[in-house]
Amino acid sequence: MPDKIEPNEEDLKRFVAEDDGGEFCMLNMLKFIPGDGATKYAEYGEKVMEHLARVGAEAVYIGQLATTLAAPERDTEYDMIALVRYPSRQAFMEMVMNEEYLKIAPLRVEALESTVLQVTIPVPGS
Amino acid sequence: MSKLDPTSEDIKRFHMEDAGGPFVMLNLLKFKPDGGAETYSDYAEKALPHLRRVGAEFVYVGHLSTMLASPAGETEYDAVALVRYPSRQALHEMIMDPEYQKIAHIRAASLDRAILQATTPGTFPGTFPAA
Repeated sequence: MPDKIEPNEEDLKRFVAEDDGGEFCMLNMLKFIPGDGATKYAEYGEKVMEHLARVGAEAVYIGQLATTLAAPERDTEYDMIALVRYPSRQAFMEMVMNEEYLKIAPLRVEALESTVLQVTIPVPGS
Repeated sequence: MSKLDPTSEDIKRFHMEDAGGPFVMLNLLKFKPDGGAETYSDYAEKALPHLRRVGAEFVYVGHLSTMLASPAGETEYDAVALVRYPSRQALHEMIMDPEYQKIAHIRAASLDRAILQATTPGTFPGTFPAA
């Protein structure tokens, strides 16, 4: 069975139920489909910018995975990491439900072989 | 037991794969139950002057919350920290420092599992300097 790339309805319900009301950073771990996955993701990345800006989100960090120094083996199989700050969970929901965003969302699915999408709560002062 | 510290082989590879320039270390941390988080905080506080001395700084520190997608199907870590170093040499210098080595065991004592993964900074839509 292929890895889950998109949250399902249950995940989104949990996402809203676990809302503490504050801002958060989405940690994205991305493994591209061999061949044109990276190119497709770059295209998605370019198109998603305006949607992020519209809901007040911004990229905190983006990086390409390089040397692994320590890790359980299965956890090192990603190509890229992206950390994106959203002002609220509501802002994220607004983006992913937007009709224009839904038109570009398939690009992300076509680009990825595997992904981790993980909400993180910033530690104050960091 | 899960590997928490790089071996000398890992450090060799780390230098061989050095493309020059700054890098950001992705730390994913699973604390030991009963006090691991507090022990790690103690380590982080003591590590801060060592990071500063070699020109490293925190980019982000966060607690893991809702998991929306993951091959494991669950959140396997407690915290994430991104730390920017000016060079791989800077990290090497820090971990070889006898004063740092006196506190390194606190980190190991606090963790059940960890990912220590070097990343090369890029720009947003997913473009990177040529490797």
